[in-house]
Amino acid sequence: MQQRKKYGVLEDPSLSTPVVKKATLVSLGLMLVGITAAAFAAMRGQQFAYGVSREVPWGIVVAGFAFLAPMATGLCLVAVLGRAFGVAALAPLGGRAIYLSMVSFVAAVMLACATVDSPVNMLIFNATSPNLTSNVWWMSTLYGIMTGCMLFAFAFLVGGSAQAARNMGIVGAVAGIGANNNLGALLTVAADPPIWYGVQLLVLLLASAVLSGCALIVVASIAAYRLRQRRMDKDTTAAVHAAATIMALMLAVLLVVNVARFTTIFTGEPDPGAVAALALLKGPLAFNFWFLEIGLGLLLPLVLLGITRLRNTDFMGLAAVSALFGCFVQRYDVIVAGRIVPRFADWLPAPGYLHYRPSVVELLVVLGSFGLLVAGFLVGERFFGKAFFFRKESP
Amino acid sequence: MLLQKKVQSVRGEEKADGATGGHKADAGATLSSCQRRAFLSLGLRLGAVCLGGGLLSLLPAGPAAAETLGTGVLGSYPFKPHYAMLVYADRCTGCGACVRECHSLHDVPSYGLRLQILERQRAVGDGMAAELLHLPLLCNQCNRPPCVRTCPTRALYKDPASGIVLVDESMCIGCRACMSVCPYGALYYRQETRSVDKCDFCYRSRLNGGRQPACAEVCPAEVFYFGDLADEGSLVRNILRQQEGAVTVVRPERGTMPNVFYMKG
Repeated sequence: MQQRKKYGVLEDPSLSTPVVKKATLVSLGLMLVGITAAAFAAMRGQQFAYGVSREVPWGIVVAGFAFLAPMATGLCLVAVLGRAFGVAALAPLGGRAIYLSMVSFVAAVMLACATVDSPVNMLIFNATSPNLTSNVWWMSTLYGIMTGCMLFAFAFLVGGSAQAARNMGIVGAVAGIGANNNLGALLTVAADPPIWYGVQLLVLLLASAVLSGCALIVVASIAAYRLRQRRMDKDTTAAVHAAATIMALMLAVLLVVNVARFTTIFTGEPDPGAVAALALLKGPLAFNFWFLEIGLGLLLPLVLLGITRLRNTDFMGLAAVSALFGCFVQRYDVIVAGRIVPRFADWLPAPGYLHYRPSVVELLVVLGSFGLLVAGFLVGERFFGKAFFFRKESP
Repeated sequence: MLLQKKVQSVRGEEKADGATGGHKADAGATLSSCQRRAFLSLGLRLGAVCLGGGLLSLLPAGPAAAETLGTGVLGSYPFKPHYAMLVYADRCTGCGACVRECHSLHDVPSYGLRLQILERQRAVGDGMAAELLHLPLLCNQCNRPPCVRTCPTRALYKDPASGIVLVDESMCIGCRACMSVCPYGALYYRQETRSVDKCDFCYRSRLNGGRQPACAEVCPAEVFYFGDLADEGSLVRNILRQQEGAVTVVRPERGTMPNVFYMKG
């Protein structure tokens, strides 16, 4: 007699297919490549394995962290909007958003460990010798609190304690916004000269966080149904449309913020950030800025969402992927533009803008973190899949 | 009576709205009272969450008030001894003796630096050769050091005895945030010790033994003058006091209150 295979309570047997298994293995393989590359950099030394230098100490790996961590905050906010704040249209995405928020943060932690030279010291001394004046310390602590809250919220959700999950979600969202703001403050202090100051960068990062959170949940929801070869149900379709609407709103906000900043930086009093802004407008980062950040990241998704009037799910997916790519490039531009301007431009050696190009090792590390994100998504859909499908709560 | 009936009828309408998920107004152009209130309530709650998060971002700024202990370009000196360096940059010929001595003494690798000399040419007139200017640059041991403020583990700290910014190598996590925020580019990451490294006015190697920093001792042009600003008999203190108007610091706009001063003469 053939023994029936046992599945976990939340496991979705429909995803136990060779395609999903292969995709998961490929993603895990990418993650391992990334971890190996990071280990190589730690042993060899980042200034030799990465494209960073004394003058440009941060590069694409930090940009990856600054992309993934705010995305976790954005997903946390999407979950909170749907589950805790009664935005009924978003509620079907809540479970998946909570889970992806955790996965995104784990991927961000992988990059944080690849950025610091002594991750073990980081764990020990962040706890035993905290510097309360440090944005880095508050950022890592608050992101940690946010992820812990998301973990509990997910556990409560699976356990059926909706109220506890809501409360955890709200605490997590507050911590996430605090962490996001501290990241913004750090990027402002670290950029010399900064293009974005204080509140400007906080608005930019928060809008960008919500944008990337909405974009990822749109892509993940579409992919989840495609993998199951099922038509999206009515509630989830409405939820994806609501997320895409928020995405369109955030794209518009970011476009306005960008236009406002880049026009004001060249008017009125001389702005020290103008040199860094010129690196984006017509310097070494011009292709990144005009084509990838503004064109692919903001305009294309807005056009795609506009011409389909937020009705075509495929176009929404395409717009979301494009927006995610743009968000990543935007974070790279913010970090690199603030560092490639020499501190003493009038003095030699100062060859115009300083040079930074990501090395292969850096690219592999970042690719590895995206592998972790995809693997996390696939594993989640397969083993916790039933938790992601919306059940209307009894009044 | 009429008003009471009207209130009851509105309440009944709201209950009906709630039961149908608040979609009743879809047919009309106006929002029902229930929907309007739900929208405002959502806005308030979201605002509270964002405000809460915003307040959390102020936490690192609180203890920073203590940093205002620092002085302006010149003023009172909070440390005893309060070490400082006076640099006569225009005396510098760019011979590099100070850099060689410093890097040899502290075993600085080829990719790092504790002390550097920047150069630039200045036109002095038609038909005349351009003048070569030099700027010796080292850690400014700031009274408001951004590196100390940013270091998440307090591996960088302002020594309470001397005011010199020191590194505890065993606690450095290698995040390079200090390198990013330093306006003087004074730090580098040293792979051999897995820690950032910087000028400490030779605090450990020479100052504790009563000797001057290596650069000040070896410079043939007497560019560097090292002294204790808290000591009334100190030459550096007296020069700075007497010629206060001629004293400058590098990048004063960053508000770091440096303890490396520059003068001509």
